[in-house]
Order: sequence, then C-alpha cells, then structure tokens
Amino acid sequence: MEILEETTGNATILVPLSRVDSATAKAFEARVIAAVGAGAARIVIDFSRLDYISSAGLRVVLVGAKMTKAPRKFALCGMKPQIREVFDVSGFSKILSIHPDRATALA
Amino acid sequence: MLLRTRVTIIVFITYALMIGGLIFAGVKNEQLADQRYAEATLNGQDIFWRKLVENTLQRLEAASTALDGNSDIVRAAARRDPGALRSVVAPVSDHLASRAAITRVEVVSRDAELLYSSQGSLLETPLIDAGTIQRIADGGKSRSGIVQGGDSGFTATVSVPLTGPDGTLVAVATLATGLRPPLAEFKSATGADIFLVDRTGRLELGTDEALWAHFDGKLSVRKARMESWPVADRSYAVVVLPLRDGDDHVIGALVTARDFTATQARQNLIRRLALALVGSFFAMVLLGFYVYLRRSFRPLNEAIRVLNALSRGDTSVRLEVGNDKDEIGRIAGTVGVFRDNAVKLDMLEQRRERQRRRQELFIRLQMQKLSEMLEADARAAVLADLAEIEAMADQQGGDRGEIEVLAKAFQTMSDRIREQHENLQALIAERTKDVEVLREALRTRDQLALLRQELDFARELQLSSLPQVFPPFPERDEFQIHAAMLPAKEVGGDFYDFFLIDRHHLGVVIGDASGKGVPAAMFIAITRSLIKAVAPLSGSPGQCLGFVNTMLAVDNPQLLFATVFYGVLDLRTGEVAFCNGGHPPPLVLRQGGTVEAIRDVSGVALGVVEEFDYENGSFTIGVGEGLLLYTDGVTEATDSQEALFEEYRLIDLAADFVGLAPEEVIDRVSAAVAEFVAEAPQFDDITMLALRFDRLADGAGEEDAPSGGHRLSLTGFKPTEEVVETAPPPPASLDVTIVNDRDELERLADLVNDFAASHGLPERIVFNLNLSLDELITNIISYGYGDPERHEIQVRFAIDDGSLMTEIVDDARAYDPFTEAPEPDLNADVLERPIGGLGVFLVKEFMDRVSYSRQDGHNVVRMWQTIAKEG
Repeated sequence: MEILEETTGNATILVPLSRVDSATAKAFEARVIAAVGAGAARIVIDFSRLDYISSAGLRVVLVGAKMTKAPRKFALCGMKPQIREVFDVSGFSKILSIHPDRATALA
Repeated sequence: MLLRTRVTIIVFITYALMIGGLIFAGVKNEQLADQRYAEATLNGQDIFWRKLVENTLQRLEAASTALDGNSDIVRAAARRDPGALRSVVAPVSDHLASRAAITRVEVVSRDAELLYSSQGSLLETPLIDAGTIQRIADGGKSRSGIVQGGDSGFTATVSVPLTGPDGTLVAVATLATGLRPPLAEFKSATGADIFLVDRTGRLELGTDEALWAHFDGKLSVRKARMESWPVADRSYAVVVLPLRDGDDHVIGALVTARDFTATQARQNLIRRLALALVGSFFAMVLLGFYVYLRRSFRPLNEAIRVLNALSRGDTSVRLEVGNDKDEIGRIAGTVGVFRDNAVKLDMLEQRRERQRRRQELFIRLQMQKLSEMLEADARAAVLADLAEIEAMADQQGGDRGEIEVLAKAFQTMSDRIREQHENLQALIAERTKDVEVLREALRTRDQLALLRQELDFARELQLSSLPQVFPPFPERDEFQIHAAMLPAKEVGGDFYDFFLIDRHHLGVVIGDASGKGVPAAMFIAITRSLIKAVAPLSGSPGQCLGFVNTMLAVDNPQLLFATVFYGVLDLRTGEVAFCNGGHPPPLVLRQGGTVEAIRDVSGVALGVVEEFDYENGSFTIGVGEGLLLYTDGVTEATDSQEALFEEYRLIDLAADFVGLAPEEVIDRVSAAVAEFVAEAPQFDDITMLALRFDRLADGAGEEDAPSGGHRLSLTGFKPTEEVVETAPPPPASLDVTIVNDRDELERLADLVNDFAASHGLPERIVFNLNLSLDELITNIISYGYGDPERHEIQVRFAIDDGSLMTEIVDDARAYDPFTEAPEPDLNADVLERPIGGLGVFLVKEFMDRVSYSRQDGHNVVRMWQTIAKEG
C-alpha cells in the first residue's frame, strides 16, 4: 500500500491511501511506528484518502496512540463516514483525538 | 465394751479420783497438824527443860555466894595455897553439898590450875578450861550452863570469879550439880521418860534404861524433832532436843519418849472406820448407777437385738416399747417402725421373687421356642444350655435367681443366631452371585439371540441382494443364466448379480467380500448396489469398478474389500468386456469340451486403494458356449483331510458341461463339491453363476448408443473451482472459493464489489460486508488451521427478499467467532486498551444477524444484511 508522509513544523502527517486491511496493516504499522519513533511533537494521520480500514488498521492506530506519550500528541483527521463509523462502533472515537480536517488536527 | 460399762467406769474413775483427792488433802492436813503438834511439843519441852535447868542453875548461883563472898577463900586462892584453900573451902563445900545438893566444888586459878576440888585430887581435869576462865576474867561475871565435863557426864555448873580486893581476878570457883533431879522432875511432870545423851548418842542419864535400849545408837542428836517410834507393840512419840553449852555448841541431846499407843490406836480406828464408810458408799453408788444404766439401756438392747435379727433377715422378732419418753425409747420406737418396714419389704421381695421366677420361666420357654428356629446342631446346643440352666436354678434354690445364667445362655444363643444369620447371609450372597451368573448367562443368551437375529438379518440381507428368480429374463432367448449360492454356516460375503445394461448388453457380476457377518453383508449390499447403479453410466467395466472402488475406499474405516469380476456381454457379438478386481478366473466352456480360464487380472480388490485405474479385458464366447463364474468357496472347498477342491478339479469337471443348461452346470458342480467335501464342514459360501450363450442377438452391427449420455462424471467426488466455473450460480447469488492466503482477500473484495455493483447494493452495505469478510477470513487464515497446508474457503452471497446473506464455509478447526471471541472493552483508556479482539465485535455491530454452525467438519458462518435501496 502507499502511504504519504508530510512534515509541517513540529508535526508529522501520515496519509494512507486506499485500504488498510489485514494484508496491508503490517506495512502501515511499520510506517506509524517509524513516524512516532522519529520524535515529532505531534503525529497526525490523515484518513481523507482512505477508503477502507479493518480492525487490523485500528490496531495500528491504537499502537501509535499508545506509543505517543504526553505531552506529544497523536491525532486523526479527515475520516470518511464509513471509516468514522468503524471508529465510532469500536469505541475508538472516545479514546482518540479525531478531528474533521487537518487544520483542526494541527491546531 | 458396752456403753453402760464404759459410763460406769468413767463414773468410777471420777469418784476414785475425787476420794483420792480428799484422802490426800486429809493426810496432808494431818501431817501439818502433826508438825505443829511436834513443834509445840518441842517448844514446850524445851521451855520446860530450860526452866528446870535454870532452876538448878539459880540454886547453884545462890550457893555460889558462899564462896565469892568469902575473903578467906579469896586470899587462899590468891596465895595459891591448896592446903589453905582446902581448909577454907572444904567446910563450905560440905555444907553446900549437904544443903544444896552441890555435887562438886572446884577452885581454879587464873591460869587454870586446879586449886581445889571437892573430889579431893587436884590432878583431875577441872570442869572449866582456860578459855572459859579468860571469858570470865574478861566479863567479870559468872557463867552458868550445862557442861559435859570429863567423865562426870552432864552437870549443871556455875563459875563465879573470885576477885581480890584490888578487883583483880584471882581464881574462879565452880559449883556443879547432877542433872538427875531435873530429869526426875521432868518425868513426873510430863509422864514421859527422859534421857540425856551425849553427842554420839550414847546415854548419859535416863529415866528408863530398858526403854533406851530400843533407841540406843539409832537416834541422831543434832536436830530437834519429834517422831513416832514403835517399840514392840507400843508406840512412842520420841522428841529429841539438842543440848547446847554456853558457847552454843551441841554437846548432847535430851530425848523424851512418851507412850502414845492408846491415842494411836484410837486414831487408827477412826481412820479405818472412815475408809470403810467411804468405800462402801462408793460401791453402793456405783452399783446403783450400774443398775440404773442397765435398766435404762434395756429398750436400746432390745432395739439392737431386733436390728440384729432384721439384719439377718429374721423379721419374726417383736419389739415392745414400754417408754418412748427418752431418747432410747424413741430409738426403740423408730426401730419398731423400721422393723415393720422391713417386714413389708420382705413381703415385697418375696412377691418380686415369685414374679421374677415366673419371668425366668417365661424367658426359658421363649428361648426354647426360639431355638426351634435354629438349625439342628445349634438347637441341640441351646437346649443343652437351657437344661444346664434349669439344673443350676434348682441347685441354687432360687437364691440368686437364674438371670445371670440366663443372660449367659442368651449370649450363647444370640451368638448362635448371629452365626446362623451370617451363614445365611453368606448363603444368600452365594446364591445372589449364582443368580448374577445366571442373569449374566441369560443376558449372554439374549445377546446371542440378538446376534443370531442379526446374523439372520445379515443372511437375509445377503440373499435379498441376490436375484433369486430364474429365469430372470424370460423374454430373452439369446442366453440362459443361472446362479446359486450355498451359504456357509456363518454369513459370508459372496454375491452375484446380472442385469441388462441396455438391450444388447448383459452385465454379470460375481464377488466375494472380505470378512463375514453383518459388516460383510452390508459391504456387499453397497458394492452390488453401486455396481448396478454405476454400470449403466460407465463406459467400460474398468471405469465402473474404478468408480465403485473409489467410493468404497474413501470411507472405509473397517478396511473391508471385495474381489469382483464384472463382465459385460455384448449379445450381438458374444464379446465379453470385463474387469477383474482380484477375483478367481472365470471359466469359458468352449465347444468341444475345452475349458478356458480367463486369467487376466485388471487390478486389486475393491476398497483397498482409492483412485485405482482398473484395466479392461475382453474375450469372446461363441454360440452354444458357456461361461462359469465362481467364488473361491468352490475351489477352496475342503474335505475331511483338509485337501482343497482346487481349480483343476473344477476345470476337469467343467469339460463335460459344454452345452448343458446353466442350472444343470451349477447342480453338477455343487454335487461334485458336496461329494468331495463329504462330511467336512463348509467354511465359506459356495457361489456360482453360469451362462450359456444360445444365439446372437438381432441388430448386430448397430452402433452403441453414444456413451456420452451415459458417461459418468466423477468430478463430483473432488470439488474444485472447476465446478464453480462450470456451474455458474444464478444471477442473484455468487459462489467464490478462495484459498487460505491473505492476498486472496483483495480478490474477494473485488468480486464482492462487482457483485454489489451488478445488484446495485449500497456503498455502506458493501463496506461493512468487506470489513466483515476481511475480519472473519483473516481470523480463519491466521488461527483456524493447525497445519501449513493449502485449504479452501467457500464464500457464497445470495440476495433474497431484500436481504443479503453471506455464507463462509471453511474446514478449519471448529470455532464459533461470535461466542468464543473475547469481548473488547470499549470504555478502557487508550493506554490500557488491549490491541486486537475487535474484528468480530465490528462484524456483530455491522451485521443485522449472524449465525454459526458446524456441519460435516466445516464451520459455517452466515450473516444477513438488510439492503436499503440507495437514495
């Protein structure tokens, strides 16, 4: 799978494309761990170009969130409704910082 | 010792002590009185004696004046001229001697020289010594006293100083007189005899010399005392008064002895009288007291006697109580009551005794009765015990009763009963075991019957699977066919069959399944049915048996197998296509009596190896020729010497059978085998099928019907994707088979998307479906298989009545994701939330309904989604 990475100021932004399922989750996980490990103060995952995510993808997000210790921040943004539903249903919305767009996520 | 004796003794001792005390006091009193009397007597006698002596001395002093007042005498003395002195003194002395009983007159000079003595000799010792002279010189006075002088004994003396004109002492004149007169005077005054004794106790002078003889030498003179002295039959009160001289030296003693015999006798009389009085009074009191006590104690004795009698158990004694005022009376009264009670108790006891005897008798009788229930030995023993008890009871005379003995007998009997009971129990246990064995035997019999029934059923099954009606095809005259099976005792596995595949083809089958009994019967039933069913669909006998073989071998846990010969006779040509799965070679009965054994073998017995390719063989039989199929029951028939019938015998035999009717052929073979076997038991089924080809069928040269229509497709036994492809599902459903590889998920997703697009399913439905498939299939691939092999997963989608049903079938290990997957904790904090376990939860959330079942070793998961049309 393809994952774009941008850096803005003190934030690293990951943009996964297309699908995160059990087959691609591993690659996604490697990228997320690398980004968190790089030490940016803020990690943002932009889901605006993602069409599908499975529980394996959720697991990666959770790993990232757990790795990011305060005061560093781990934020998500730009979810499509179906993806948002997955986060809502799983209860992840309650424990993760989810923003409508990248601007609010970086704020 | 009796109480009254004791009381009497106590009283006696008390009295004795009291009287003893009184006597003691009296004696003491008397002693004191005696003492006082003695003192008084001594005093009196002393005074009296002094008086007498004084009188004598006064007389001497009076006489002395005649000397000291005589100046002649003084002068003569001063001159110390004894002659002159004698002449002067002698007259005076004589005068004094006669008048005044002066017994002796002496003049002693200052230096104690005797100047004159009335005795005459001047050589004698003077009455006074120098010391006395000196004391007189010093005192200037005269001295008087009793003197024991020289051998003259006691004398009363008076010494007067003779002084000169100048007042100097010139000499001492001494006048002495004897003591007899005072003694005599004393005796006459007191009536007592009186004695003068010297220091040594020797008598000097006495009034009764004879009496003194009793005392002589026995009296001490040193101490004044009074004592009674028995002399012969008389008693004397003897008083001793020591005599002292002027210098207070004891020089002797005055002893008086008064006869007081009469007084003493009186005194003794009074004393004895008093003693007798006191003693008799004492005795009387004691006697009275004793008598009184005796009388008082009589009721008590009476009570004691009654009590003694009662204690011996004698209740016949009676008690008369005269007086119940005092304690003893009351005791007696109480004893009376006690005796009454004892009498009652005795009666009660007697009654009880009688009762107890009755009871004992009863118990004995009951024991006798009870013993009758025992075995002969035990009964005899118990009866012996009882007899013994009776004997003992008689012997004891009912003193102690039989209870004790009875108890012992009872013990014995109960032991015996227990023993018998235990024996019985053992017997019962044994019988129970026997019954158990019997029951077991019955069960076994039942089981045997059941088994036999089963065997009967198996035989029926076997026979019923064989065509029994001959001729089977009466309308066909091209051939004649006959078959027979001579079953062995046990149900065997032989079978035969024949059938027309089509108008021109006759199929004949003969087989022999391994094993015996129901499994073999079942196995041949299946085998025969399969062959018969598959035969019309098969292109060749080999194909047919190959298919049947696979069917049998795939699910053959008991590893049964069957040798089978299957031949197909083309009735138009006489050609026989065949396949022989390990069966004995069939015999072709040729014209001219040759017998040809078809020994070509196509493969192993059916059911051994799956997917075996059986070859086909063929031969031709001509018209009038025959075919004989048989099982090894024929060739391996055994005679009593264990010799086998063998194929060669059969071939020899068959040489004669050419042209015979099949039934005849079979009968003859059977007869020959029976003859060979004779009495030996038959071990195996003997089965034969005989055929005679009578003429070629019409329509020779016709082509066979295209075999394609009959050709059996074997692909159904091993599902492949080819099936999916070759049998496309109806449009409203989709079947997909994927393998256990994650990369397949994307392909599946594409198929789903296509399916969804073609049926206009909403995007959300598709998303949820994809996610669910992803989760579930990922789980299956990741955890469901215990091996690294390739596995297939069937997924089916079907739209029906506004609902999309998705079914996932896999052969992974049984696992219900909806109940067995752990529930995730959705409320946990991000840092505590465990990773994983979410997938199934998401599936349940996204699907309207889910189900799980396990079918034929497969997990079947179904999910339903309601399709809401978009817009």
